[in-house]
Amino acid sequence: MFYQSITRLAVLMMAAAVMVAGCKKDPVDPPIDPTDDYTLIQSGTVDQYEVEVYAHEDLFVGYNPLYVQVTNTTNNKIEEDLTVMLMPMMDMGTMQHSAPIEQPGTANADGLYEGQVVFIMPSGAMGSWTLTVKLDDGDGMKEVDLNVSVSEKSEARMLTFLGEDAAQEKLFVSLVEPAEWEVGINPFKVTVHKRETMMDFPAVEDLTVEIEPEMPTMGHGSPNNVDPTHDSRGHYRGEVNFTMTGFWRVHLTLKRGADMVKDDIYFDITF
Amino acid sequence: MLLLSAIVLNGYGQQHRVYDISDTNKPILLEEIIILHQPDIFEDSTLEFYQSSQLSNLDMMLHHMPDIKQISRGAFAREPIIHGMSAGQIKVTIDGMHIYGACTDRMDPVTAYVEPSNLKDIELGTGSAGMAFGPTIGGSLNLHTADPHFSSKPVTKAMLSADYHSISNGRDLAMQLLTSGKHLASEITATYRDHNPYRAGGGEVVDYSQYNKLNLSWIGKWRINSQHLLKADVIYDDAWDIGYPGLPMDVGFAKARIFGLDHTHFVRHRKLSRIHSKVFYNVIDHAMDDSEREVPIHMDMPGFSQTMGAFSEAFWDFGHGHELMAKVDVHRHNAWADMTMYPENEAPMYMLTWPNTRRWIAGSYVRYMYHHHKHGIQVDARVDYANAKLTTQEGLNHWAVFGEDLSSADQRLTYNLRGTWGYEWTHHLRSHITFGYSERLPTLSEQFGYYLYNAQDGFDYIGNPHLLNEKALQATWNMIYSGHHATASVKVFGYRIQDYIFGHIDPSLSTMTIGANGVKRQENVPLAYITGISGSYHFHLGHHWSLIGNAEYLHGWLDNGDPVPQIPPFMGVSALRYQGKRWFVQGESDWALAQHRVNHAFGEHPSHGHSIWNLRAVYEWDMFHKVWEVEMAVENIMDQNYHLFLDWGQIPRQGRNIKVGMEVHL
Repeated sequence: MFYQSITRLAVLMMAAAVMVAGCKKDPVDPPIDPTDDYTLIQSGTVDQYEVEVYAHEDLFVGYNPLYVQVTNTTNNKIEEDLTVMLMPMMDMGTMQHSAPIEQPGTANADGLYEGQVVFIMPSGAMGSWTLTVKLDDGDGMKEVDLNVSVSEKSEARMLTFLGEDAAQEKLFVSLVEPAEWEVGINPFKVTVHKRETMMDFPAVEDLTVEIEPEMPTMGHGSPNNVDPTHDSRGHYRGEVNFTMTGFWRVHLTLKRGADMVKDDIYFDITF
Repeated sequence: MLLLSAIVLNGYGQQHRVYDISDTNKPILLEEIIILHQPDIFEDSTLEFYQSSQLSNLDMMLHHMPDIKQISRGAFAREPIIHGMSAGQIKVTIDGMHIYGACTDRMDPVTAYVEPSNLKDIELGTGSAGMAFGPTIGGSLNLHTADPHFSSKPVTKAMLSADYHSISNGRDLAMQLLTSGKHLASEITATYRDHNPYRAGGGEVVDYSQYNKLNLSWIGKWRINSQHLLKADVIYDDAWDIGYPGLPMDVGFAKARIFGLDHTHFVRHRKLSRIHSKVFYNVIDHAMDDSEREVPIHMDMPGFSQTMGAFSEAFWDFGHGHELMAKVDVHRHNAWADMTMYPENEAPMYMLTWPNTRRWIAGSYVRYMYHHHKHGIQVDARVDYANAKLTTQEGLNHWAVFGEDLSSADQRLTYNLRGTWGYEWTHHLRSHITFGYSERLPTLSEQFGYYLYNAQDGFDYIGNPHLLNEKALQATWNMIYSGHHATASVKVFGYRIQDYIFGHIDPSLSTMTIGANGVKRQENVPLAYITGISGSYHFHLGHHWSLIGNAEYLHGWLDNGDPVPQIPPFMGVSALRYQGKRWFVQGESDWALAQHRVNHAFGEHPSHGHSIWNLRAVYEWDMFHKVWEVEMAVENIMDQNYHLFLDWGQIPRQGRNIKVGMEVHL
């Protein structure tokens, strides 16, 4: 009798366990074309090469990762063994200037040449951007000029100002956005470049950066943020914590040693 | 003599009382009585005294029970508190089913889901006596739902009841439909309540004190044969547009769906008398609403709680006074709650306030009783294993902000042990001494709550995943006199609570809620002490008069000398009834002294004393072969403007209320 009841109970409990168990999803196959996730910005041809420039999104004022795919039109094969250089140029009629660049060089594992450009102003009445892609296939340098359009995001992704320390440099601080901002710990990365000449924008590697996130509407911040420290090539990596979604403002303070370079600047981040 | 021994020892000793409000006219099966804990005749009458109709609400019934006080945030769903302990410190169950509220602000205590029309009795265990229902230090409150009885001939009975309250232009309707046969029995109940904001004493309307609710239940029983009994419980409770004047927001809706299936096997083989097993499932869906309030930013705050589980308990009677009960109990609780704020011209702000929590609790409980001549002992022991986890990456990310990696489960054990010795001094006088050690788990809010705003102290609360279990040593002594014309009891008790869970200000954190005073983190306070004395009485004065009442005094302090929060002042209730043949009149009083011992950090304010008087009359007659009953009552006759110490926001309670009710039994 007792065992019967125990058996019955066990059956009921198993039924409950079945209700508890969830179902598992099948894994999704990776996409075959590596450019599938990207947006085509512009394309052109030079000699036998078709050059396509991709980005995560339309170009904007700020730090833009670019992906160059080169196809040999004679055999329709993707060229992965070239050396690729980028040269952005803003033509403002009376003057021209370039922008901070991180050159792609050789191809990545997907066969794409990945470089980064910090567009420091938008296209428009003031002038227009040309992105020159230079290919070296061991048989001479080949160049293709692509007209690209750069717009300003509603929330600035690049800040420019004159450093307030003795060096008085023209500085460009760009936010390297993660794929997605989320509640929790977010990598917080900025690049800092300076204008040496109109054509040369080297990385600035000797600053200390402090961050302070705030929700202006609510008047609160978040705990346990990690100030970005210099990694390489003007990249400063830290962590910003968001306790909720919405409109955040991350204040930055830049110092060189004990000298204040700039404070009172911020990136607005809404997600 | 046998019966008295049973009272001493049956059930859970003196601290576990059953308040039986069942209709004694119903035919009763012998087996079913065995399931019940021996009802104490004295306690039995407490509820009957106040439950004058099926429309009295459960909050009012609990208010009159000894050892229970209530935290009030409005006119609806008051939260029970036993000896200054509430929420996770006590265990509130319906028919032993674990149910957890879905509101991060505790607006939805489990007691909100049962109505007098589907309630059979309330089983209260104070302190460690609550362990039969789970790991608890403060005690347990188990609401038994109606138990339709079998009858040898098919019977159908119905009851309709309606009343009106002048104070809130409130209307209540209740219905019961009972059908029973030899093998099947069923009871369907429905209760509908519609109350507008009430007027406080003096006439001022208390805004946001309205509520509406519909409660439907079905209880079905099937006697398969003389050994097997199945019982099913379904409760469907919908409340909407509920105002909470003590809070900065109201409730749009609160929905509970509660399902239980019981199997009782009357073994009666050798020493094993019966095995009772149950599976249960419930979901609570809750949405706060501030659309009627003037707030800087409107927000949505939905919450969800889902619990499923099973338990099985077996009862042995070894004869010669030895009895044993053993129980295994497992359940899983899932909860989430989130908050979305909608600032103007800006992106909505969203966060998880209960970040997708899931907790398994598996426990076993053993109770051994022995009685011999005038002595009886009872030993209870319980051990539980709990496994809590945040189930989504999103939830884990929320906690990562505080430097917490909660990807692995929080596992812990709780132990509860209790011993009682009872002695019968004379035929009418008995006493008990109990010592208990108990532990309870931190609640999901205490452990994983994320910026939960507490309107009483004005702080945002952050949970603490590393909280230790709260532990209590308890000692109780009581003395009960039960004669033919009088019953009286007095109880003295004390708790020494270790690792008392209490919020501490963390100045390094910034508030989330606009206007909040700061952020508190849940911490363990090394020691807290709660002591008290309570007494109840019921005197029959001649054939017609009876006097019933209870009073309780509590005193508590933390190890830093501050008072323990939520300790009400010396307070009590009493009622004097004149019983005629078909009618009765009763005067009731409800009083409390002032409370000056307050915990300022908890946001408490001193309260004045109060004394409220009610007058109630019920008349019953036969007409058209039906039994009719009419009730008239004047509550708060003096129209006092008062509030109780445990009322949030010092919101005044109802002023003078004229209640008219009618009930017919078909």
